[in-house]
Amino acid sequence: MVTRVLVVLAVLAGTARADDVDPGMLGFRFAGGTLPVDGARVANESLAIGVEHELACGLRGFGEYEWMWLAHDETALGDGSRIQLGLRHVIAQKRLSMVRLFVDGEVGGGAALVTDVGTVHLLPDAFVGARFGYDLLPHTARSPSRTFEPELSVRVLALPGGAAWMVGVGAFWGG
Amino acid sequence: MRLATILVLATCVAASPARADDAEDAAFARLPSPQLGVNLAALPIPFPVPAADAALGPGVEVGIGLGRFKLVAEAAVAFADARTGATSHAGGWVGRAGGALRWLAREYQPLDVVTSDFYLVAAAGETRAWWRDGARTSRPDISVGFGEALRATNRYRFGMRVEMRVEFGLGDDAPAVACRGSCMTVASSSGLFALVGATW
Repeated sequence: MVTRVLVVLAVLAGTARADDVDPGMLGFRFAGGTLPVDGARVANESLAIGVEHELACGLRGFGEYEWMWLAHDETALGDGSRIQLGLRHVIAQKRLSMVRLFVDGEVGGGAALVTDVGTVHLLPDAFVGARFGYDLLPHTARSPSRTFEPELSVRVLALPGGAAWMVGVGAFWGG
Repeated sequence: MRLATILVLATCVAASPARADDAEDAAFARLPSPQLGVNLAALPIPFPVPAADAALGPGVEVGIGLGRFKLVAEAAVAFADARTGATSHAGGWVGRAGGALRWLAREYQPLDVVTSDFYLVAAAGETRAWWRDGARTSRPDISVGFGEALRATNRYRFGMRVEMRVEFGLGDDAPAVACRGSCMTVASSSGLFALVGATW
């Protein structure tokens, strides 16, 4: 499991390479939610790291790696990893002098591999969600990142065992 | 040891392709060196039965900056309540000491004297527990994670940061003394290491 975590981190860090191409956005999220595992609804907390790139016409593609802890009634049941890929687009936004407020919609899917009291489960999923946040726009001429984007994420996930949800807070640094 | 080797190798792999050229490195505000810090840390309880809780306490750190890298020595002491979620154990004090390597992945400079940093971190250390019933246990650990720092780059060099890591315990001699034979099957060896602190 540790090896998987590190390999994914390495891949994600590699995408942050600085060259002539816009390196996109890089950031993190701390989240909580639920997952249907083996017929039971378990709670989970997670740490995620993600990258984003603008594709076309304001459409942004993103990828995330997430480490999750599973718990039920305050007793930990196990842990695991989740990888998600998706697309997001602005639904509404308002630009003020130094801030752009936004609501983005997102769709995507992925899979989790979790260990629940010693049993390994593969949990594919699809999700829809929204992100509420703001961009800080001013930056110095030499600033390596052009934007800083804190956000609140809300997702509803569909899994073979039923529906789940996730709420998280995080931030992304622009290219 | 095998996991520690993997960690070091993976950290190098992760850092190398992301290393920017000299021009981009120069755009990053210089990391203060040496740097001192104090924090409030949430340590995973070094207990073989997974517990959805943490030990809270103060921590200190000292770091030196090497370009976009920072080497840090860190220590913390925390109190583990006897009741952790639905699991009972002796409870007691927990101390951890270790080292960390941070890499400044992104930096946003809204003003000439302020930066918002995003960094990746890998760390290793050892946690010792002094349980209330007199037993002592120890557990080496490795962790990987990330952090966010807001810092002043003028002469005051003051900063605040939040850091979160996934910590993996590499072994534990606690079962015999802490579980008293009543532990459940071990389902996880990872825990959340988190801290919020100030640096200068």
